[in-house]
Amino acid sequence: MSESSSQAGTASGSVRSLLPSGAARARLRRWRGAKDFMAKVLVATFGVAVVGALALIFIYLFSEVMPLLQSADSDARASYAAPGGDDVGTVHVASNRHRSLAVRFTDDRRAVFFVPLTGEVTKSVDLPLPEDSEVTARAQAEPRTRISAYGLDSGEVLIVEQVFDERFEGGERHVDGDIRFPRETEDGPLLDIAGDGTAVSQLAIQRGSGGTQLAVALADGRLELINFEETTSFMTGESTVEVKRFSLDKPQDVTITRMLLDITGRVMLVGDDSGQVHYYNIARPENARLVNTRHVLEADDAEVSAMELLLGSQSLIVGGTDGSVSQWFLVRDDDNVRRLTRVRGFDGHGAPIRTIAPEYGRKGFATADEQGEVKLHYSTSERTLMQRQVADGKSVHTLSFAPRANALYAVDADEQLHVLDVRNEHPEVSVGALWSKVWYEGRSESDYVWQSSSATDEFEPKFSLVPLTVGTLKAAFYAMLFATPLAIMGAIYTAYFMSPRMRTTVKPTIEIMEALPTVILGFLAGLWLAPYVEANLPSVFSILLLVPLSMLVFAFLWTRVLGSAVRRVIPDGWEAALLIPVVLLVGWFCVSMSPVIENLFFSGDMRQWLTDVGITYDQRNALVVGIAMGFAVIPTIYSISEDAVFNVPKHLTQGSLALGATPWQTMAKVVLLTASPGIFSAVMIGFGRAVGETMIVLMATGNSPVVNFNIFEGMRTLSANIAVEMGETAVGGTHYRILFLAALVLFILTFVLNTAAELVRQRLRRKYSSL
Amino acid sequence: MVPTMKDENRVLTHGMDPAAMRGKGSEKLLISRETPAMEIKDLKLYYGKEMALKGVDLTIPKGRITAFIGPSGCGKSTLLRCMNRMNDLIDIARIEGEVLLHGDNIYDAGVDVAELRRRVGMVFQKPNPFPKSIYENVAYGLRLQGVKNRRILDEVVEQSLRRAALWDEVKDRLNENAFGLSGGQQQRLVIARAVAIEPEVLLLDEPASALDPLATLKIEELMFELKDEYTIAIVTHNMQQAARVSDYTAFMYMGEMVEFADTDTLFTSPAKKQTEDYITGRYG
Repeated sequence: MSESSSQAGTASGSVRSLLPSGAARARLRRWRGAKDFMAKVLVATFGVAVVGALALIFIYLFSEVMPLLQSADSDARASYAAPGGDDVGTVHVASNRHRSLAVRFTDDRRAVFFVPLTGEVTKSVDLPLPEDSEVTARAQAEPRTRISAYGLDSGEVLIVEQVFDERFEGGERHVDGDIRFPRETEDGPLLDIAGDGTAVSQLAIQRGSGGTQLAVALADGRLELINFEETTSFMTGESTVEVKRFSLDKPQDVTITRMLLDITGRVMLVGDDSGQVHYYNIARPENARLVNTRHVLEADDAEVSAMELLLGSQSLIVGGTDGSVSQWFLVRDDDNVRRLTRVRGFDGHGAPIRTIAPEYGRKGFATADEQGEVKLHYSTSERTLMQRQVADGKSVHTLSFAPRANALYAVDADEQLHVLDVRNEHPEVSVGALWSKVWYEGRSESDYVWQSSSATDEFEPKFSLVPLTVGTLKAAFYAMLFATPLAIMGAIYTAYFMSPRMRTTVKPTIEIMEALPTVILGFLAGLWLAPYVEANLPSVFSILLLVPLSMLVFAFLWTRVLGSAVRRVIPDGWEAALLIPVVLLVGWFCVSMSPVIENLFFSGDMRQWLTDVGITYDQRNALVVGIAMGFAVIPTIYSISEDAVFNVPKHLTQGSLALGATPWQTMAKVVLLTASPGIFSAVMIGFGRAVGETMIVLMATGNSPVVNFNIFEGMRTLSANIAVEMGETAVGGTHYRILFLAALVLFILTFVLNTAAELVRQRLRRKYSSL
Repeated sequence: MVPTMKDENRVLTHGMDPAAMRGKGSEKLLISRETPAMEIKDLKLYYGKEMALKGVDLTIPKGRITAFIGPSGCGKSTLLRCMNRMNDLIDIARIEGEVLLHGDNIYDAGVDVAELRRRVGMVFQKPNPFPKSIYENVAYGLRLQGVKNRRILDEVVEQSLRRAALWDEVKDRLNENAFGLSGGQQQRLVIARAVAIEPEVLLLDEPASALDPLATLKIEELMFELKDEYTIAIVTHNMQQAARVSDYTAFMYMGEMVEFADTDTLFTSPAKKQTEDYITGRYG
């Protein structure tokens, strides 16, 4: 500082210095230093903020997805002698939704209500069963119906419904348990099935929309089916019950070990002691017949020891004395006959399976064996989520879920009741369930399906991300197929051949297309273009073929046939404008020829013709999306690659021209090579945009989650799927989290694509960049 | 500017002093005795409304080096670019007059510009190798002419690189990117590239102005090597360079040809005062 002021001093000695004084300049230097520093800090802060924001998005998405990855686990919550006395056997245990009250049915004809956490008995109800009778069989309908049935040695059956009445008093919830008899007759709740005092040996009960159904196997070999058909009068709202009774043929030479009825009233499944399950078609009970019999266990000499239907009663879970657990359902074979088919097996037990407990509201279930081992399974995801020894090696003979599947009640051979807390929020999800083919209930084979919800509660959600990912790539692929050639060729022409004045209007015009809201593009595509394309299908293809062809023909005529005198009318670089009428004319010609072509080649209707040759045609299809989304990505690709071509140094093109190259040779061999990193990143940015684009695909694809690349079918993309379904999910639910997972997949997809693109671009740039 | 002959570190590719090579003083050059390679007749060039060349008449003698000197903006580069129609690339440029190459006007309607440029090659001020390998840079012009035979390409590449005095430096890395070369090497590569397609005339637009003295010297030596086979026209700002390398020199000023004579005459006894002022450094 002193140096500069002294210099200023000497300078002022000879020639008057016009510079500010040394002190002023020092002030300025400090101020400039401060500005530099502030700029540095600001730039660094915002740079870090951008990276941080990206990281936060990633972290947030991941935090929403994280619970999906957590495996199920459980804690032993309480363990006590079964309420109501451990000297009597337990038939069944159930609780209310909040796990504040539970009921235990005992084999001394009582229903004991108790508090699950403590075992404190609140109420005991005697069931109206005769004192001298013995319970010989019991059965349970789907857990959510809360209906069970008792068969007696006197040939009588009692149908019982446990009820938990909730009421609020002074802001507190009170729950009262009670027992009802839904099928009470004039003679009381007991139904005499045998009529002659023959003992009931096996029992099945189910309640569906058509009413209650009861299947009774009697000790003398009779197999009876009783339908309580409920009809509700429209006028009075009064419901009447009609009881119908049918006799069935028992399977030959076997002892029935288990019987089940489904909720539709069409299927009866009978398990026996030789490891077989018999499927009866009882859709028309008067003609009820045994359709087929399958051996369902792994070991030949094992018995079917436990058998339950999952929610919706489509899937049968079979457990055997060999410890195997497997899932079966009825699949139509080639002869259109429904056959019991093994779908998948689960982690087996080391001891005979004693009992299977299905969940109330999902397709999960728990199995327990004779050595006290309990395992938690889920059917769709084919997972065994948890296993646990609950009873110190003692057999667990009764097992049931709490309604929300957040607790398990297990009773062991010593009549100890074990209460387990279960945390199992998202058992539906596994890598396999998301990314491989899954055999869903009611389907004839495994497949990739996305179908997240339906009207019924019994529905099995199908969360395969494959259709969505394929759909995303399909939409992007067709959009790029349309946009890339047009945009790059346009960019090359504009940057390299077009006259600068024409360029100044053309380039901004195309770039402003980017500002077009995609919702408008989607709207036009879905409501105007899709029906138009459907009606004029031949014209689309003839335009695709004839427009480039006619451009070439016109170019040939212009340059080779017409004299140079005519050519000189149009200045260099303005020839492109001449093509406008050509394109319009050929376009008009193609559209007007469309019906003629249809009549000549496609028997009047190309769409119908496509259907006839076996090609599915949706009105909103990949073709429409390709064109509409192509329009959305053209400006991006065009603008960036135009800049890349335009910025190829002039000395390179001149060098090439000076070596005797034609402009075309120069473009193909030098310009494109040098611009290749820029063009490549333009294409990748366009692809990234096509992958993430939402509104156009939402409105113009039909959103059908199919797994194919047929140009005439629609698709559902990850982004559109999130937009469509986010509004209808329960926050924190599996579906909600899977949508976040879809977002994460989309994020990773674009991230990986962009990173790969950047790496390739850097390589290209190192190789081909000019000075 | 010019390194001394005594410099131990200096590497001379040809082991000869350029001054000796030119054969100065051995015979008196006379323009009237030369065969013309190119003739420029009353050439006018307009950039829009502005006149950049105001009626230039000139003969480029065959097999000689002709230098163009003059202050910045005098039109010497423009004139050079007219000789292979590089000015066609400038939209607003308009030309009147004739440029004859071996008697044919290159501005005639039927002339194939690409072929013209093959015959009249050009090297620019800034080295401009393509983003390709050294080999492909030299082979570029041949490939444009449709040569695909690898053997012919190999031969021409080697020959051209040898002629450009670059072969020994690059023969082991022909497939490396040309950008790996130094500025002087790049410029010689560009000359090799231009020579490979056997042009008749080679236009050099300040070929050494972006190079260091040693590289400049190599380019100058190269010009001597090449002048037996090619007619060379060189634009230069460096008057010593013009004096050292050229046989004939043209002095241009404000778009006009002020004086054209053999180099000795122009530098020792210029006919015009403007020329004398310029070469003695009084302006420019």
